[in-house]
Amino acid sequence: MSDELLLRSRAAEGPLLEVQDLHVHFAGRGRLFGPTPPPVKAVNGVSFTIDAQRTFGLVGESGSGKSTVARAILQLVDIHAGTIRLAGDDVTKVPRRDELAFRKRVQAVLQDPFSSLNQTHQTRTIVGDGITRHFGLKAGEQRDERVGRLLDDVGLSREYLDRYPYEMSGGQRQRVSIARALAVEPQLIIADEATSALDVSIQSQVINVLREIQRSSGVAFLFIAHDLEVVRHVSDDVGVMYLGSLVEQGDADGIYEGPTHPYTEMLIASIPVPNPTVQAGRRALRQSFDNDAEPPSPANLPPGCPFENRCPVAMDICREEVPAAVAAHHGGRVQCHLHTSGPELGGESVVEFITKEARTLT
Amino acid sequence: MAKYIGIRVLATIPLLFAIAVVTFLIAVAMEANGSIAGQVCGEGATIECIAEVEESLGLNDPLPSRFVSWLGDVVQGDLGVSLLDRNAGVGELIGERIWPSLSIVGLSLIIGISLGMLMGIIAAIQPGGLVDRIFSITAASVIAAPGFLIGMMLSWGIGVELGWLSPIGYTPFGESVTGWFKSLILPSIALGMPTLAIVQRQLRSSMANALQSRYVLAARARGVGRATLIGRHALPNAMIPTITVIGFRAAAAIGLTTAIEIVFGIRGMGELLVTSILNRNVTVLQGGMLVVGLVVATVNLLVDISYGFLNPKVRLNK
Amino acid sequence: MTESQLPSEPSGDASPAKPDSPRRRFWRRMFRNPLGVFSMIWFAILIVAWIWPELLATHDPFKQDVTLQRLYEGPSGDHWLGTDQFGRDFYSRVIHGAGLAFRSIIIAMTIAVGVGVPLGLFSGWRGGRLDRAIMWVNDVFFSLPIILLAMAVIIILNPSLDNAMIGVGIAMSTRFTRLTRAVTLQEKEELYVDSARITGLSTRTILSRYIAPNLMSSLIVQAAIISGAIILIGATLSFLGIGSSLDDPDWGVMLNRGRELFRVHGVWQIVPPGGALILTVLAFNLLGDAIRDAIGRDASNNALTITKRVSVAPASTSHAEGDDVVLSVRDMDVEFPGTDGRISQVLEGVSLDVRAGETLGVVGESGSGKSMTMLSALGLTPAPGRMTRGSVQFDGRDVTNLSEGEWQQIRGKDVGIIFQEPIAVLNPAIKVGKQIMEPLMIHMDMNRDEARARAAELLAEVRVPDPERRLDQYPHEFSGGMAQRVGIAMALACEPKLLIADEPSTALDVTVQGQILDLMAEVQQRRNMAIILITHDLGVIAEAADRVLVMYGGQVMETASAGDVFFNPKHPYSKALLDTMPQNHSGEGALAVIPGVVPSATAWPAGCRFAPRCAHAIDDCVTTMPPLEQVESDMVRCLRHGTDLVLADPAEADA
Ligand SMILES: Nc1ncnc2c1ncn2[C@@H]1O[C@H](COP(=O)(O)OP(=O)(O)OP(=O)(O)O)[C@@H](O)[C@H]1O
Ligand code: SF4
Ligand code: SF4
Ligand SMILES: [Mg+2]
Repeated sequence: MSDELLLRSRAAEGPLLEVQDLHVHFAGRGRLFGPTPPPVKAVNGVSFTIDAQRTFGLVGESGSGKSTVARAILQLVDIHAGTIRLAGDDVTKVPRRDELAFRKRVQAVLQDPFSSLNQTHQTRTIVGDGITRHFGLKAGEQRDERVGRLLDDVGLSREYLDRYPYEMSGGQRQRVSIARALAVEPQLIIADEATSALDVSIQSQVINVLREIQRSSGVAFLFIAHDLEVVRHVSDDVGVMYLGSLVEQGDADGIYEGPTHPYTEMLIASIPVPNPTVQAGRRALRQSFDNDAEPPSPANLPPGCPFENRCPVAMDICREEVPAAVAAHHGGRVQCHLHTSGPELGGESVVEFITKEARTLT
Repeated sequence: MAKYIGIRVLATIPLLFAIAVVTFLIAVAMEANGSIAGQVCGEGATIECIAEVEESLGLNDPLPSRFVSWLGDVVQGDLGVSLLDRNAGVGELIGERIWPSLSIVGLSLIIGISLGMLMGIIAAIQPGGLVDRIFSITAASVIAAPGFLIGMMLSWGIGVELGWLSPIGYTPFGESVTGWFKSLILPSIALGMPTLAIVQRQLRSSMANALQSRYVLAARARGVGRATLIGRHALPNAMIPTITVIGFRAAAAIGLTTAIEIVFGIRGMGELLVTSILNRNVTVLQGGMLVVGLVVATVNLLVDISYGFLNPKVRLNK
Repeated sequence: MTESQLPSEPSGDASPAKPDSPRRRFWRRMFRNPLGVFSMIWFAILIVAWIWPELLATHDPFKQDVTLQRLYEGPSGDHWLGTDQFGRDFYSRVIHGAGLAFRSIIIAMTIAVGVGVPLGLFSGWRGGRLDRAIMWVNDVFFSLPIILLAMAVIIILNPSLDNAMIGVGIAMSTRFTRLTRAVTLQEKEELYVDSARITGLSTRTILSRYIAPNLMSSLIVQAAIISGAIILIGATLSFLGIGSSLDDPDWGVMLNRGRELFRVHGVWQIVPPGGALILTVLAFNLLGDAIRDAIGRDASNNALTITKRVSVAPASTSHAEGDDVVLSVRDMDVEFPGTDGRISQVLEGVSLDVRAGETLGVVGESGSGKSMTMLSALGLTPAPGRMTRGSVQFDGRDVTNLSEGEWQQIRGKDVGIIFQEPIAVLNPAIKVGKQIMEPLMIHMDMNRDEARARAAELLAEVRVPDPERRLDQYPHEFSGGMAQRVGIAMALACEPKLLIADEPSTALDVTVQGQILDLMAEVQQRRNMAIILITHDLGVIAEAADRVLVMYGGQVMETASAGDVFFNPKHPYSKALLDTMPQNHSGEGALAVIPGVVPSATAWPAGCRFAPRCAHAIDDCVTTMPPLEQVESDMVRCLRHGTDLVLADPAEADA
């Protein structure tokens, strides 16, 4: 079957991953005898889909709930409400007996290359464990051969088979993590800040490996990072999270060129570009967002739009009502009252509106 | 802070209850292991004697109701009478014996904590330096010596050989205040030495951690002098784990004072508990355990409260 | 795309050298530590005394001297440690006592570990309310005196050492429950456990292959120390007469007997059992310490440990001239003696200048020496590191050899420092206001009220809302962005001439980063202050720097104006850094990379430190270290600079 045929047959079945109205709460932890603090609402009604062979990028500030979304999909935290489907199968709460089958389909590469590998095992075991578990191939030459081929795929020589994690650099460890995820031949890999701890030069090495693997194996990615430039580079679609809500999502380039949510625009304006002349011009745009307010605590969310106290164009309704998601010009969705009440942008880009608004303010 | 203290005080109630249950169950278990009454009445016990003892202990009632009536008495301060001497109320017995024990424990803690902290701080200033090494070897050896052995050495060295203080005995506070204090010195040092060593070691290591922290580096970068760095920046943070250790040590000292009292021939709680164990004198034992438990609970409460003073995070997480 | 386009990791020189395995390192350290060796030998003796005491003993421990001639003796050839009141041989009794002591350890430890470890594992792994309930009960027992718990068991059963040890074992199990639970909780949060679950490994596999090995080391350390405690408690109980029976050669019993005798028959009566007791407990404690040291890292240095003065070799080049030069560093070398005797040279020949009103940006990959440069320039080199060469001028004054006391006058007053982790640099136990007031009271002679008023002004200046209230809060009540503003307020409190900002915005969200940079720029303009801005983000450099210093491998690779570095980089490393930025990437293909990894500070390449990764390296680069050359007002360290080397300017192309 050619790649295209495969693609079409998968597309016909609908999206690979479908997350619908996901809520995750963390109960406050008090002492045994004492009052319980209010729950932290880490994820508040997030919905998105990932098609087979595509990469969905999730960006947002620290604490915005990106990793919690990943951990919910991976069955590592309890889901408060919502559903998750994988190729049509309900995987919101995978029963114990189906867990192995589920693990075979979804894998992950986690953030910290120093703690995501067990220090007491060699690469051959770290990568081979999954092969044994899912394909019943016991430790030995045959399994090593298979691990060796995976190492080839992530650009490590076979000498790394008997390296321990502490004998490898951060970039090398992340490659081992990727090989471990690939070993079970999953349909979806979740990369949670997989490159954030690495130096730029190493980060681009790892990103290239990820992209090459997607090209050759057709695995879909959920790529989570706080660095927008990196996310844009690797993703087909992008979702922007703020305080547990997915405030905007859609085609990566569409969002970058015409963001429809004030927060997205603020994020993009905040990235300093490595060019002094260009950056001097962008400073003014960034400063138009300047605002000394702190984001509210996820344990104590405001009744309306979560971005309201930092938004340069907030209106009265923003303080009272949570905005609903509506269609945006880039084919995705946006959650902001500007598109339904007040100036009625109707899904169009917010850039011009905000710069104009900022000018009238100053 | 008031709210924090209030919550901590309330949280002590379940602890006290747990101690009461355990104490009560000790008597029940003793009974299961052989008739207490038989032991009390001795060999060739008469039926009447046994019946009388069993009756007085209420051994024939069902467990829960026994517990309730026992607890009711205890809460009213009635700890019953000694099985060996019907005229001696347990409450009075304990009231007589507890003061020497509390005095020794109290003074030993004062000595151990103050000197231990001082030595811990000094050692932490130059880790690996000469003073630090001398202190840590000393501390390690002192921790290895049981208090009663230190007591015997003090009693022999200072009491017998040098004759500076009486090697044995206790003078009640009521008789002579100076005599009381003098008779406490050796036992308290014996009990306080291990405390000192434990506090010294803990504070030294948590001071070393605090001094390695970024906030101390940052304070040094602001031009803060050495004394302030140690006293105001490192010490409060280093005290947090140290307080916990002091709490455990205080509880342990309450148990260990028994052996010290025996070395110095002091009639305190130690002797009372040991003899009642050997005589299987249940009521006295229960009373003794209960009082010791109460003291331990109080110590825990004090530790919790001082913890709140030192650690703003705990305090505000109401 | 072909195979060759995939960046691959060569296994040659670029990969870090294979370090010692942890197990080998552990035993090497154990045997090198004399106290560790002592305690291991003592431990072996105890085991022999337990299994086969006759091997070590010289007499029958129970044999009395019926002639009554040889009572209360001191040491002699026949009785090595003398005799007791019945003329029994002390040495043999002590040896048999060691066996009893070891037996106690075995009984109590079996119970303690057998109950405590499974309970802790269960409680920690399970979590939730059940965990908290278990731990509450555990803590109640934990806080009761062990002696008392042992007494309770003795009361219920009968007085005997074995029964006492059952009580001690139960009491000690609370220690193991706590420890096991703490380790389990911590390990459970570790990413590698998540990874194992994601791989699909079963809970049993995770517990036995992942958690247990990591638990092992803490358990062994704890077990050694608790063994000592068990012996102490056993001895105390026997001493009280509620442990071993009165004839047993138990150390506690011997001491009990000695108690009645030593005041009359001489202190020797308590020396053999007392000495054996102390040495044994000491050996166990030392064993615990030795194991801990052999496992862990060396914690013997702290921020106060001021490295012993070494003579600093003078710089070979002269300082920049001019009144406006605030900080000038020439030819600075900084070394760290390693634990294995190897010296790592973390800085080599670092030179830099910064002038009033100017921002010097410092970039480079992690470990290139950016932070070390700034700390060393201010005499804050962390111990055991030391500056071995170079010269530092601050505000026209030579500060290379200042004492700590002299530095205190300058730090915080003429130079302020902002650190990367805004929360970690604030003291968690002190109110934020007091911390801001500190430099004001030290350097500006302000009293408490003046300092407080000024601190509030400073907070307002760095735009912290509601400053008066904020002064009375503790650091944990601040978000990262607000804490960094406090950091800036503190650094600026005494209006310094120089502000050093080490990654001031790296830990913050990108939307907050701009505000922090703006704030610094604003203050700089108002006060004509010099700023050194350390970052690994070229975007931040583009935003804020006037001049740029590029570091790699502990060396300065290039210094130039910001425009030159971005549009006309002279050094291949500067160029390569720019190329790897995703922003400078156009089209669909693979991102540009710098192959290989940063070499380690203990094994720098002999020639140019960048040579193994440099796209322009020639044979000479591998053997010859390029000097830091002055090119007009700029500097560059590359053999091929000024020859036929052409480095295109990526930023220009995009602009
Ligand atoms: N206490 C120490 N003992 C030995 N070597 C050290 C010590 N502290 C730092 N180093 C070494 O000094 C070198 C420079 O470190 P430095 O922290 O200055 O790098 P950096 O450029 O600031 O990196 P980053 O971007 O990660 O902050 C590194 O090789 C580091 O490993
Ligand atoms: S809903 Fe209102 S406050 Fe929220 S982003 Fe839109 S305009 Fe701003
Ligand atoms: S000296 Fe050689 S290896 Fe080093 S940067 Fe210049 S060209 Fe590259
Ligand atoms: Mg640094």
